Amino acid sequence: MLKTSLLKHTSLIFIICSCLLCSSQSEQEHYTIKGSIQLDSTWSKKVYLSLIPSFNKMFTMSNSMIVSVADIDTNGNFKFDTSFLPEKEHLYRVHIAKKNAPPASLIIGGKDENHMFLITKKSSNIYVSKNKSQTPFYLAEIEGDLPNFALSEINKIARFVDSTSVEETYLKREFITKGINEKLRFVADTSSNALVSLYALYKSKYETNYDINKQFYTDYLIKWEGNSSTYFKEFRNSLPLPKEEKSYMNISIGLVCFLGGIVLSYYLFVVRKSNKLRSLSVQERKIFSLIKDGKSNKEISDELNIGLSTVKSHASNIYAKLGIKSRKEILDINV
Amino acid sequence: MKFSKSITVIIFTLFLSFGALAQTEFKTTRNLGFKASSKTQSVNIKLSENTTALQLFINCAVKKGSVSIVIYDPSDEKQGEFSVESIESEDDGSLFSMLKDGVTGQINKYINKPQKGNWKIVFIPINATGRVEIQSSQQM
Repeated sequence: MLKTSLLKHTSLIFIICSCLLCSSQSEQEHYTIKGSIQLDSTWSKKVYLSLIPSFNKMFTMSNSMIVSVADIDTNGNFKFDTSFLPEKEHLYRVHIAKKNAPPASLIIGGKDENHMFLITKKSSNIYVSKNKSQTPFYLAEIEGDLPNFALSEINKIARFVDSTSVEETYLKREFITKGINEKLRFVADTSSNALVSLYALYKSKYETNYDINKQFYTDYLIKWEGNSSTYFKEFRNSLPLPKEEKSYMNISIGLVCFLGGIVLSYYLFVVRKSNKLRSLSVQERKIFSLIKDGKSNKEISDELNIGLSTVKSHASNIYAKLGIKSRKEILDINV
Repeated sequence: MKFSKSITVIIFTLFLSFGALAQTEFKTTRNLGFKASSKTQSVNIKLSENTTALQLFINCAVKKGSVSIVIYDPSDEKQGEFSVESIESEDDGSLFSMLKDGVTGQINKYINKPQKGNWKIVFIPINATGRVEIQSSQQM
């Protein structure tokens, strides 16, 4: 009886321990994007997660980009399950919609700006917190991992540009924007996370300052040469780096140099030959001009009244002095 | 003494009132519709020397296809852009099929002492059915 009771208790303890172990394990493997947001009654109580396939589509709203939807409870909490997301980090956008607007609606600027960006992957645990303010995601705090903390910092830097458009004059705005873009390039250069780095560059409107910072972008591309993500491929292709043109230019320069070399060599060859002509004796010059006229050794011998062997001897001297091997080459020499 | 103080207050109030009256606002609203065959269109907003601030509000709703909207300043530099794209879906109960109410995009921009000249808003529709509303307000 006692034995049975002991066995029962042991079994019960074993089952409880197993359950606890399983639940703790499943909790460890369950990754989410959680958040808390305070909204007024004009907003619908749903939050949407969109996968942004390229940085050029940060401000594109498409129903095909939305990958998940979550309810916002009465306390403003929401939660996305991230277990279905890709293993690698991607850029995502979290947005909310007005009650009278379709779920796929994007508001840029103003007090109703309705979105924020996140970098996340399948195994990320992120928490977004937002205190009550007029703009839903304005200065939202992101906890959980470093890339998103960096993203918040970049947003804070970039926001200076927007604030200047409200307060400053055109010239002052230009000046401040240049300074901010420089700071963003510095962030891009020093960031070890590829997506954070690219995010900073896109915020700096790189396409407008490429021409004056060519060296920076050349070095930047070399630094991230090994990154084969679609984000980087797109960035590389978008840069006005005249890769094709550059190689065409190099080929053209090479071709011009090659042709120039040929012309120069030919010129030097001809000049050298004509200079060498001066080293010929009077008799040899006569024979040279007769050879050039296409006459044979016999004809030269008859014309100059000298022996055939003498003509041959002079001809071989001429060949040696001019550095040629045949009569044909004499015909090619311009005098 | 009291009288002179009152006169000063009256003059000051009048001065402020005239100042307020002198600041005028010039508002325009334009609505454009798109259908599948529509081509790129642009709307110009001419800013004079007197413009002290420009406020732009562009709202675009698309039922089908895509529309890109780009704002250019007089130096042809992009000052804002967004795109909206609506892809038709089957009623198969998926998340995608629940998002068939069309797509909207909105941009709000306020620029203090904007660059003088022609500001251009370009709309590039691709097989799009929808509409766009542009409200501009110039303070002078």
